[in-house]
Amino acid sequence: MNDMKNLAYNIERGPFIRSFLAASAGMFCFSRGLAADNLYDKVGKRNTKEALFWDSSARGVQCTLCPNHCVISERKAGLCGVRKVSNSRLYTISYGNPCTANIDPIEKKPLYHFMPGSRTFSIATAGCNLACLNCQNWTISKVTPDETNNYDLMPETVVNRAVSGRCSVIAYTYTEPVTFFEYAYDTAVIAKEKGLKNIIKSSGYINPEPLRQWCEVMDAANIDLKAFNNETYLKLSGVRLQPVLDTLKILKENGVWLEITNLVIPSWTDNLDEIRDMCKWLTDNGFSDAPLHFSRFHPMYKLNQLPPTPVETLFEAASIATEEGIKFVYIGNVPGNDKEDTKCPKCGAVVIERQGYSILLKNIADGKCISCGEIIPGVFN
Amino acid sequence: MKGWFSKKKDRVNTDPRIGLSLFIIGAVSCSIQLLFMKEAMNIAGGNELIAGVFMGTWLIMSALGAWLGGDTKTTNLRSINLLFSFSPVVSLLFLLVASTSFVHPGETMSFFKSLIFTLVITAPICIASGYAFIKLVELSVLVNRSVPGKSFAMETLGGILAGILISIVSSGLVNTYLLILLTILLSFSFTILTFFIYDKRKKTHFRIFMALLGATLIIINPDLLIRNILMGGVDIVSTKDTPYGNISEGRYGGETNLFYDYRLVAYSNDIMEREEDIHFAMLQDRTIKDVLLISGPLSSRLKELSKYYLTSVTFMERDPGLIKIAEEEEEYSRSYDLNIKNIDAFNGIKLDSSKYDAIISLVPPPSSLSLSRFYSLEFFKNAKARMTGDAVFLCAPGPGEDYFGDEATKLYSSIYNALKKVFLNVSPVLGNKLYFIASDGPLSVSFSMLSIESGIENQYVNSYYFIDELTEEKSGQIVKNIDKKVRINRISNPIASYYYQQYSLSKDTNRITIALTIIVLVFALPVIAFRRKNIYMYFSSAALSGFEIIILFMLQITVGNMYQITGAVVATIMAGLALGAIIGIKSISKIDIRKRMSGIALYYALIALLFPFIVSIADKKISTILIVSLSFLPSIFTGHLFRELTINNGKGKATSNTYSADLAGSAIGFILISAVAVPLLGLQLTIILLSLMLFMGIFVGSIK
Repeated sequence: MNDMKNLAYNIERGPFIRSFLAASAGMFCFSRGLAADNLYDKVGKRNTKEALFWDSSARGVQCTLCPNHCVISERKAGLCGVRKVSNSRLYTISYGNPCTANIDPIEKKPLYHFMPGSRTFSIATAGCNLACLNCQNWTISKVTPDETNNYDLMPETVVNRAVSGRCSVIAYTYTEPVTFFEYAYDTAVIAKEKGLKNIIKSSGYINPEPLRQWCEVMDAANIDLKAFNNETYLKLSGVRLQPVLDTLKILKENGVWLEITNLVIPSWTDNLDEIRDMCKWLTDNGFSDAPLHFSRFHPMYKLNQLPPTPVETLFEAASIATEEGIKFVYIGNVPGNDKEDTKCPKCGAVVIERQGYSILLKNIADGKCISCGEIIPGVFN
Repeated sequence: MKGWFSKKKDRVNTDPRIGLSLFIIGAVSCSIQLLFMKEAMNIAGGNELIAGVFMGTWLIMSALGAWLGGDTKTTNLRSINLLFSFSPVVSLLFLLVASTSFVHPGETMSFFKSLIFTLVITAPICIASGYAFIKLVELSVLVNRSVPGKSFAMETLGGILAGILISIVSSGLVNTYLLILLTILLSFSFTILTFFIYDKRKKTHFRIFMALLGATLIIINPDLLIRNILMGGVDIVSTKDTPYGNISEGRYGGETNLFYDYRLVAYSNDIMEREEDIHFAMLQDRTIKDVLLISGPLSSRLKELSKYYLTSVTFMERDPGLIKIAEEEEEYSRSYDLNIKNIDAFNGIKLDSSKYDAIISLVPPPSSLSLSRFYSLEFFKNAKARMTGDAVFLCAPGPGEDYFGDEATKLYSSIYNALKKVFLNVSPVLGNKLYFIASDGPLSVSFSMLSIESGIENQYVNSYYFIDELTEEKSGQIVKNIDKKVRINRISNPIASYYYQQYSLSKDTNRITIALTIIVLVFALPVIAFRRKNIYMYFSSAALSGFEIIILFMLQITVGNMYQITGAVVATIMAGLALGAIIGIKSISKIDIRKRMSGIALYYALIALLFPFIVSIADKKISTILIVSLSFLPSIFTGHLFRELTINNGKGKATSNTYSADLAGSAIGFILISAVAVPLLGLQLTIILLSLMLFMGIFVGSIK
């Protein structure tokens, strides 16, 4: 074993470790330096626009778009990943750069009482202001626009594409349209001018002021009411319940057609007492006409070790909703179930018969049931 | 040495109990390691990266224990054994607490959480075993005048025997948690009977008590209780461990769900999934008569296949547990023949002589190297060889998403490109999963039209849910996004599993932490932590554990099923290590360590050079013996290195440092080779990387 003593060459251990650590630190700082990029480095200048809702505060720039109220320092982004500070001003980097653009039937959103059978031109940019464990669009929502492969679709182009695709509706959907507020708003203004309708599929986590501005151009909304318990909301999505309830009220006050989706997740949001409380709140606050969609959960994203929602639970939830006075209750993600049709709340006749995303029968004229003349809430023309 | 001589019974010149204790520590550690790893893989996601993380943390924690052992003066044999016997109980409790408190109900752990989780559950047993081993080596040197290499060999022997035994009994005979508890019981029994009870009558009473306790454990079925805790909320009504995983049947809200390694594989009201699985392929051709179905829930898929006029359906599934369930559930009166084959379809398709009009592969996505085989060029070629002229092939390599990021695009490109090499036409279909349908004949994704034309009555795959124009557009978009330059997924270069890991890791927002963790583990740790001679140990062990992975994959290519031969490979390597550690070969010792390392590096390089020849040997027996024996030489070298580095260092600290270096090196080798190098570089280049690893060891070890 004597040869062990002779094994060392002329490289000193101490200096080597110091050099190694110094080089590592240098590389780290260099890479961080590169990461702390300019606003336009990774997304084009045309995809960057000054945000509409922000304030200056002593600690930095405060975004006032959503109830997260992020205080953002220079060159950093908010929780959504798309609102960045540059020269003490807040910019959005998701403008005209959707990463997904598809044509979908409006029933897929789901919106059942708003222009049934319409085709929607659906767009979304990367980023989200929530942190849902069951996100079904996590490949877009957990990244920022500078990490996705994007289309170049400025607002005018979106409207033109919608028209050429025979879509009468533009949907701001998939991730969370709140995060691309300015893009959605500008597009909606042009779409409205051209006679198209605008809809949002959202979690409704937005402050009242921007929401009221949106209401000027949005025709309909489907809001995810993920739970009716603040603690569950926080654990499941990282946000609070109350701002979402406020959103529902503001949308209603401003005449935006509203439908609500409740995804029933086993062991998270399938407590029937809680579902009853939710339905009670909805009827007590004047939402009994707002269609309520109970949707079946399938294992997704980080909630991968759960069973799907039992179909029986969805029917029980639907019964509870009806008992509590919700007039239009639907069940989603269960093909062939009998809770897809719209029935007249007065005479019980089927006014819209659906199968999947197809409308089989419309017994409705001027928004009224053909059988009894009862007004069916919604936009059916 | 006060502790050692403090008890009257211990006051002997040589003590066989030290050797026995070493054997028991090796056996119990190895058993618990295998069983915990199986379970941690199930809980945390089950790919090579998770296995690597587990092995890594296991060995690093053991190294920590060994290091602590070298620093403490305790030499009380009773205390050492008692401490070790308690440790798996604490680990088991930690596992139960961590898996219910670290994650929300139903949540799959992120990589970072998996890392913390494995650290927490491995810490008690590993620190205790590393610590106990070093103390016993120290005692062995002092009391039995034995060289550390012999102690190492004794512990290794325990590990080999327990490893073989556990491999046999855990392959479907006894469930995991029952085995863990029985192992703990045996470990306690040894400690109590050897060090605490000396009276014969009391010993008999104790034996009877432990036997009754063991019988009670068997009767109460602890696996069912524990899995009910782990699957919070779901009522687990039955659970069974098979050679490949755990199958648990659960009830929730009146519906039945079947979980395989905690992932849902079958459930009630699965209309959307089962119709997509079957009809995307079957609607392509109205003349399909013979179908090969690979994996997936059989009974619900047969419901859909029964809508067609078929002659035969062959079902291949490697897991006997799933086959049993399929046979029990299969109750439909059929107008066609049903052949259920319990075989790994990768081999099954090669051995089969039948021809099929459709092959529907419902194997899960390529999240591991094993699953990646079913998305390889070789598998697609073998499948095509079993297909009639314009027959249809279907596979589902991942979930259906509205947007495919870079990781997903590369993953699907590697599979699409492989399919394109074999079939004239390949069409992606975006359903609840992403499907690829392939054929030499024409393909259509206009399922609305196809379902109307066929007259097949579906609840979901029909004109009400599928708008042909949109389905075609989406399929076209996916093809447009396919990167033709991405390498083809092959058996020898399983790039799909690497991309799948990248895709899974992209769920973690803190990727810098992951990268830094790996970098620190691989490079910084040995330079900072070990003295230079132990750096040789570190890199030699890393290269050997990496070579172990290579051997397994070479067997996968040649023999077909590496999992059945794993025990033989591990036993050969451990035997080589034990032999090297126990026998001092003077002629070897005379050669400079760096020269010897260079020799082994050249040996690896030679194997890399001969790789194409070795894997092409037609005789399976010869190739198996040859490949398994390839690991013998480097394992003897590594064992001998351990002996040399510890032979004149009976003092605990030096031995513990060498042992720590050995364990940490093995861990890094395992992670680096299985999770990164093999998927990224392929087998042949990875063998060369082992050579480079040894040369790097020579360089780093040469730093003063």
